[in-house]
Amino acid sequence: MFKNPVINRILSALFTLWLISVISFIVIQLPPGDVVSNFVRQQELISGASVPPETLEFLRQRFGFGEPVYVQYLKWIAGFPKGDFGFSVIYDGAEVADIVARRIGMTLLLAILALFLSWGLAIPLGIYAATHKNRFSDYLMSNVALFGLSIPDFLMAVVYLFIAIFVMGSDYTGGLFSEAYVDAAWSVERFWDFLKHLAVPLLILSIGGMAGTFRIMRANLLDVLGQQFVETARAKGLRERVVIYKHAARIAINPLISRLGMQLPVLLNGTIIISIVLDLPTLGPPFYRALIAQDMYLAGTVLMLLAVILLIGNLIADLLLAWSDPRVRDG
Amino acid sequence: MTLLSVQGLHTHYHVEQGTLRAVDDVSFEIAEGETVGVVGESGCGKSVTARSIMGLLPRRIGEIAAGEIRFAARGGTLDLAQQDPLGPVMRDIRGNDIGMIFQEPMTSLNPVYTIGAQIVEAIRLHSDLSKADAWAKAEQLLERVGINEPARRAKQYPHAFSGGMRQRAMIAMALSSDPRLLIADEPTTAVDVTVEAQILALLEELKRERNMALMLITHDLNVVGEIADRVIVMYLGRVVETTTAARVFDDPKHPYTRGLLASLPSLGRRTRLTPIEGTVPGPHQRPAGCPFAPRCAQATEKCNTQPPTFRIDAETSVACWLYDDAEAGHA
Ligand SMILES: Nc1ncnc2c1ncn2[C@@H]1O[C@H](COP(=O)(O)OP(=O)(O)OP(=O)(O)O)[C@@H](O)[C@H]1O
Ligand code: SF4
Ligand SMILES: [Mg+2]
Repeated sequence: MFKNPVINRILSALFTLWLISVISFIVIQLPPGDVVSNFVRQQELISGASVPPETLEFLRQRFGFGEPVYVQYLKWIAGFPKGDFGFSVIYDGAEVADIVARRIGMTLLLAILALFLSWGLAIPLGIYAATHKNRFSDYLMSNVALFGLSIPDFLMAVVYLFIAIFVMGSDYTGGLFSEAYVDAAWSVERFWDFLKHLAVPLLILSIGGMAGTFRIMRANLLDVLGQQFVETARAKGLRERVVIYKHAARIAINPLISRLGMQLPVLLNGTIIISIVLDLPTLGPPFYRALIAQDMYLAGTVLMLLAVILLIGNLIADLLLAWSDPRVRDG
Repeated sequence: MTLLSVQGLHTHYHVEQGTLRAVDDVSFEIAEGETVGVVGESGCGKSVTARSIMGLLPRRIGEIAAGEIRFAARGGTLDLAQQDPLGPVMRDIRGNDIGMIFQEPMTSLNPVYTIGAQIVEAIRLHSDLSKADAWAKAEQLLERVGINEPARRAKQYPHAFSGGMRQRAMIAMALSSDPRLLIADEPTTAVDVTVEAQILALLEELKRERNMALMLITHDLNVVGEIADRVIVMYLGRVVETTTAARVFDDPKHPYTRGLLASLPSLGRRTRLTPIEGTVPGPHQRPAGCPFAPRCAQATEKCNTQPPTFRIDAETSVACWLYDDAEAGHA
């Protein structure tokens, strides 16, 4: 469309964002009866009196209550620049923005830590397996990875909880803090408690992604090791370790980077699902409750946010790949 | 003075179908500053011979089963066949005393490092030049092999170079530590005729100015005629004839050498191409006697046993029963 690839990229991202907001709004409108009328009815049930006319007027002003659907959509997105994404019924009319803001950090922290952990373990193991191809250790790792690939995250979470509580007698029942520390101020003990709690979902999440990363790294490296420039590196007199890491593994990682864009949604999904099972303070539990209760401004906003994160994640993956592979950069 | 002396080399590849005798009792010598051409059809063991010398046999598959590879270095001679291929001695020989360039210039260089960085890596591995001095030397080398604007070119990645230029860069890299021997494994097979002539001329010049020996592997006798002093003709893992470059054209002895010569598209003689009858047997169907017997028009009863190497005179030896009556006996 435009000559400049950066402008093209930004324009297409903006278009995608708009599309996402439309889809999210459609999702919001999907359940019978709109959110605002449901809220009004609920408030009336609780208080046993009609909602005051000023409130109704405010709702009409802000959300287009009683107006055509497209007006409601426009009013909803008009709030975005002011950080207003609507309100939540299940959180007693609290601002969606507040609920999301309090939990987005932990969601991203979990997903990103899980990504680092799974790469940090899977890449060295993949390198080891590829350089010990067809030996016992390679067979063992490859089969464990195949097994790991076939277990869904939530099942791992449930199994882990079962073992922790019933076999090891732990008092872990989910969450990120023990009861004593939930509302305590940050201290060394609280932080340690937090780390212990974080370890569980983190391990479950990263093991899920590890199996795939391991298998791809192993296959990529085997492929690269067969290429001529690896022989050139050896012919220079480089140590085998340098040949493997600097010349072969360095290139075998590139396909993993381009896979990041696909891995991120899986990780976010996993984070959300595990958070529901383990009751972690991420976007998972409110999203789940909002979907069930048809609390659609909250559900729609989370949906939109997840889509935006994916968009940004993909952009970062593209930039990383261009940085890592000069053929992509110049091509 | 003899630089390299290979005696009774047997290199075996342990593959699924069994043990493959890729190099089967090969002996030859290369003097200092000499250019030796190694010719033979595909699969006759030329590359495996080179890999055996370099200690670059594929791990756990290739193995030097017997023989000596004596190389004059460090004021004495060293049997490379006895060295640990990954150990410090072989690593220092590789790149420092023996350089190597390969058939596929397009894939011989690492795509994610600049040409300059790859040459600097080789320089710094075998010297204690500072980074800046190594870069300066890399640029000089690039200029010497005929690359214009070496300072700018050194900062480019391989994908910005054509095949011929990449091969020049490979030569610069292989020469960076002033090796006594350069092994060029079909360096011009993948480039077009004009570039081939330029590269051969460059190799010729460089070996003269550095008094470096050159082991030039090719399946093209014309290439040998251009620049070699002596020729080794290989067939099915064996040396069938050793002679001078002049004699290989004027007075070829072995029926296989004659066949190779007859199949040569020569500019002078506009005769029809007469390729050698039959095909090279698969590596696992090695004939019991003379390996060439199934394709040889002059084969007799005698040829069911392996012919020894008959020395015709100081410069020529042939492994063929036709020369049984040559006085001197085994070489
Ligand atoms: N990695 C390997 N695994 C199994 N067999 C191999 C391997 N490399 C070479 N061989 C076998 O060893 C024999 C000698 O091969 P080599 O590569 O030395 O031939 P070459 O003379 O260099 O041929 P070309 O002109 O095609 O390069 C062939 O039969 C080949 O099939
Ligand atoms: S030994 Fe016999 S079969 Fe072999 S090349 Fe000589 S004549 Fe031919
Ligand atoms: Mg070869």
